[in-house]
Amino acid sequence: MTDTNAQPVIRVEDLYVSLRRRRDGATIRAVNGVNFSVGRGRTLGIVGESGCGKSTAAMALVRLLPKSAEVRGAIHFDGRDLATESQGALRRIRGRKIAMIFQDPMVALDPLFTVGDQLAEPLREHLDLDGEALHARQVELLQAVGISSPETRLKQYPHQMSGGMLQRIVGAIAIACNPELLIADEPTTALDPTAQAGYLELLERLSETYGLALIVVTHDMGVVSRICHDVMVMYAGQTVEYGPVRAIFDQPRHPYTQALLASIPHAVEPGACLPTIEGQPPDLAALPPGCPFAARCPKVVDRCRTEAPPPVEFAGGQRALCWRADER
Amino acid sequence: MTIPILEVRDLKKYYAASAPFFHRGERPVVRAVDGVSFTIPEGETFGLIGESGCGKTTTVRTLLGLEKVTSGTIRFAGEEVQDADQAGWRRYRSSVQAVFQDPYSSLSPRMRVWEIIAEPLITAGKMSKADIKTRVAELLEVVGLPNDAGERFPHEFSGGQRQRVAIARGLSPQPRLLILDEPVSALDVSIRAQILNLLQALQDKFGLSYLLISHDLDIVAHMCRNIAVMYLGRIVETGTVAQVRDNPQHPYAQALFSAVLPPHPDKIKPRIRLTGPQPSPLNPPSGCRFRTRCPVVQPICAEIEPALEQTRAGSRAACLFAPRASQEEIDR
Repeated sequence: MTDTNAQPVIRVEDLYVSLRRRRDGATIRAVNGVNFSVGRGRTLGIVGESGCGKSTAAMALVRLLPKSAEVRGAIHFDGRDLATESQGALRRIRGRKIAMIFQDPMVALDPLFTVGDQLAEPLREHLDLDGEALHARQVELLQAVGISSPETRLKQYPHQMSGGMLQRIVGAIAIACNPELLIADEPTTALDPTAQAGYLELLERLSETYGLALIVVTHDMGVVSRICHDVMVMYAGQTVEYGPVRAIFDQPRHPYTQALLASIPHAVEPGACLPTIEGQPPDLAALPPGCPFAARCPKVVDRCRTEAPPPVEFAGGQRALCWRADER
Repeated sequence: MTIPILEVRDLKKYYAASAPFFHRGERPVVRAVDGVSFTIPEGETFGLIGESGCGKTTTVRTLLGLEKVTSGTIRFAGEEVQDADQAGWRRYRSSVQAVFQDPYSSLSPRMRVWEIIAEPLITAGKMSKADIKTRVAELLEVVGLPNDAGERFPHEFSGGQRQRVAIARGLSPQPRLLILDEPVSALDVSIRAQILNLLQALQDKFGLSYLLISHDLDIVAHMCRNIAVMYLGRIVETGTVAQVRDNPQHPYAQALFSAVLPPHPDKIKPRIRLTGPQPSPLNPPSGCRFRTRCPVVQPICAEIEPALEQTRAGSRAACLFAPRASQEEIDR
């Protein structure tokens, strides 16, 4: 791997996830051989469109997957392989060493419990804190995310707080047990621009302050360019391109990454026609031989339809899965 | 001067809030939309932006007649419609259609696609069955759906195709104004571009006017000629996209546009942070409504409610401290 950190917090090798489709019992190959690693204080963006396997790949790390899911590959974390751990062992890791944040912070909190109760849950469960020590940690966490008068806030309910404050509470819960890895799945999708910017800044600050490894799953290249160091572009369960954010924005090598970056409105003149990607992603239960993007690719050649492309490596750790990746 | 397709003047929509128990006197009033004015010239796209709860959606709901206007006027093609009789209102409503955010919930799952598209025509009761059939086939083609799509149900389509169905339905009574409420935010990036291109093409083809509501400021900038920024039920700045986006004069518009995500990691700019919560429209601050969160607030802002004035930068902004245009600049 080409991560700049000698000892990454998490290192994933050859991850495969298959799921059973309820409609017809077909086997869906949701993630097909994915490799990545994230170091301390680093942020990896996993980007792609609906159904590309980005959330499945991220959730496979903590095995928050449907029962039918089969996971293969190695997930090196904290000196062990999470892919072989039992659900019981994973339960002790989830929320403690690996924290998760899901979509809208406004709905992530339970309206019937005070902020203090919700903040206490992981502390009691994982760290056995109680009484004075618990209270002190609650106050400390609220201060860490920049909430003033924490004593009062602990006794309040979510509806008594603004959106920005709820974001910070969700952040405080996520870092409650000093996790090493934080997975944020589409953290800002439902938010308006100001709320989105505020939430991304919070995640960035938490990652920097606590040396968290952060994985952000998103469909938005803007989110990637704002807070990520590295990016993994997924298509049909494969990593089609991977590397440092700057390199990929400067010189995307895979035609899919190129198309994604080109279809953002500010890339063209106002009112002009936006470049599009025609067609649909392939059925994950019946993946074509060769490159899965071949049917929609503007640069397709005969070989793409029959032979799976090998990863092509570039300077700085960028790699792309394309027969024509090194053409300019 | 040609008559604009839509002219909204001093639109207000107040709701009576539920009164506290044992409350005496008048019930508290939520001022969801509080004196909004804008004009959409025929054939243009006008964008309405602002954070959640600023009154964009309420404005749209009053335009669609889903809410009764508290006061103010809505002029459509020169004709006042807010107090129109039933016939006048029906005429207006067939000329103004809407496409909503989520094509998964805005289309009836029990109706075939052709029924969904034909419903407004059947309700109007003016066309024969054969004509309706021809019209539906035309509409399917116009929005880029295959001919046999009409016989299928919405669940058989992808999100992008469903949004095409919703657009075809919107177009079926031959409207002149289409209200697009977050039309692509539920769609994937590549599909998004297809739908935006389709909307542009339809506008050129039929001379349609659009009112676009979106959180995505890039999309608004791409589609619109003029935009208005709303805050707490009022427009705080309005002008062309170039004026308002590139050189906003109102501190709220400045903060909003500073939050746009960068197109490249080298273009990350410092953001203007707003402190404090958004005040309640139940009890908006005195004077300027933005003053409780404004980074450049002055004592006088609590006293005077600023009106929209022509600024030197070309837009109109409601801020006492936005540099005003001189009389000569206005005349020019």
